[in-house]
Amino acid sequence: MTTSSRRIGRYIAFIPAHCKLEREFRTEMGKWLRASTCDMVYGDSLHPTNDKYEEPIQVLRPGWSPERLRGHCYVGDVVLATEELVARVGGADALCSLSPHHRALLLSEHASSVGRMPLFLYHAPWEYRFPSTDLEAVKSHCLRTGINAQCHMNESGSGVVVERTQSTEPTVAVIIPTRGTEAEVRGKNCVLAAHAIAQLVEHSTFQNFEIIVVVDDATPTAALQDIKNAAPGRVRIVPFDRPFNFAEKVNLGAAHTTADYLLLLNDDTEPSNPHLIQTMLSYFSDDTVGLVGPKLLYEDGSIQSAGHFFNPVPYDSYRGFPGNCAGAYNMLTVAREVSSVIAACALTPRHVFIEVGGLSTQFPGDYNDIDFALKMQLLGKRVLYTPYTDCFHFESKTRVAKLNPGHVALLGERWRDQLENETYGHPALQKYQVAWKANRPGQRSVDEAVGPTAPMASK
Amino acid sequence: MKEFLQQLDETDAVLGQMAQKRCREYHLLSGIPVETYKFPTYKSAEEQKVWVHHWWVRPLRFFYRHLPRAIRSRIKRVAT
Repeated sequence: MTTSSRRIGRYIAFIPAHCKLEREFRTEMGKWLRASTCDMVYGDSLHPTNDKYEEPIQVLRPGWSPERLRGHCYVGDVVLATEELVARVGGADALCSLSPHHRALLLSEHASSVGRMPLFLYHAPWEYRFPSTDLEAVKSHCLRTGINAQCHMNESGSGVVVERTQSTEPTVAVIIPTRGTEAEVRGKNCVLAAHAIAQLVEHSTFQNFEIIVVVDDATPTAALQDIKNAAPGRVRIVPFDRPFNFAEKVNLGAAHTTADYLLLLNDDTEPSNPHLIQTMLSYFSDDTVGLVGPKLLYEDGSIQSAGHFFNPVPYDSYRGFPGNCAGAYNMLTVAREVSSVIAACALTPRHVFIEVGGLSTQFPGDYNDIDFALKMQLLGKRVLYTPYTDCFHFESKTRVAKLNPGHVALLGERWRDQLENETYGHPALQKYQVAWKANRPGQRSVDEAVGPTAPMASK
Repeated sequence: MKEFLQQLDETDAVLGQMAQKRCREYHLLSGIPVETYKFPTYKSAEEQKVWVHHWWVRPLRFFYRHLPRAIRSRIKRVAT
């Protein structure tokens, strides 16, 4: 693939042969670039179809997400870099000879800051709308950056899996807050917490964990016995005698362990994926990672949450979509940074949990996970969603969120700037949607026009 | 254990204050009045009131889209 370079102000644009710079927005682009302090910049793209009556496909790109860039070249085929950065990386000619994915990875390794320009930077034929991948480029990136990992293509071929290898086997504490609720799971009535524990113990390939169950005083004795019997000798019961506060229960569980990592697990989950803990643990070989969440599925296999998405109300990404849904431009097929993940199943190092003050007890039911994840990002930690492992979460699909105005107000008091400017979103997206969709007036489906999806209530 | 929980609460309060400070700056910079936060409501009905979204503008938008780039950018420059 031949690539040419072109100077735009103090930037050099790398333009593959199939791409052309979008001229319509050059005034806005010039303004944006002059004000920018980033030394690597990427933007959106337009992809005209063969039908001249149809509007071009708009590929809007999220904010800087280094983990996603390892998976595929989501930044697009055209990137801009300052002259200094280009010189540091080896010059424009050397960069032109590389694939777009290789070029973007190499530039990002040396860039002090990477920025997304929310404008159409280039246009290309519509077959180039999906992110390209270069397995060899990711392998060499891992070597250069010291990531000890096995890299291979994912099942659909839409991204590269960076499977980090761990040199040590840390200890994990599984914290399950419960009140001994009984419910039907796959046609059988059972104590939810007991079911979750049994599934984890039976299926997990990683067994170096202890189980801490924080139980309400009102928990029936029979349910308590079932929980103990689910993993005899491995379950530690911690009584909780205060009014309902999910965050307080999790914090209490964390106080009863010295394990290296904490797996926050709801009782209404089924952690039956054998590699659940192992896969999530692998991301912590990078110190900047603070929290990892898997793909959460409903009992029928559809998506319950693929990370949170502030649009501008918090939503579970792609909630209700089929389990194998790739998302817009394959975004669900690779690991990526998200603003928050649902605490129904999430892994965090214990020292990071302490650093951020645990789950805020000011959010007894909802939004404590969002607050937790945003506190991490305030301290410079990354929150990741991984599609390479999953966990069933039996939260009712039809559950209507009961919004507590006090909690919403507090969430806004702390994080309104984040909610209204989703780092991994885009200003031109359709708001109030769980999925990533460009806002194209007059192009909406009836479903979208009818109204919003109910905002999620995280617990 | 009580100390551990107290330490968590204290750290949470400190980080909460940091976040609130950042939020107040955001209010100042973006000119949003400081008021009790509520989740914003669905805006599509309001969007429909904006004239460019009306059905009768669609042919005009189609016509505009198929103008040469130079003319479009001139129109845009004049309009903005």
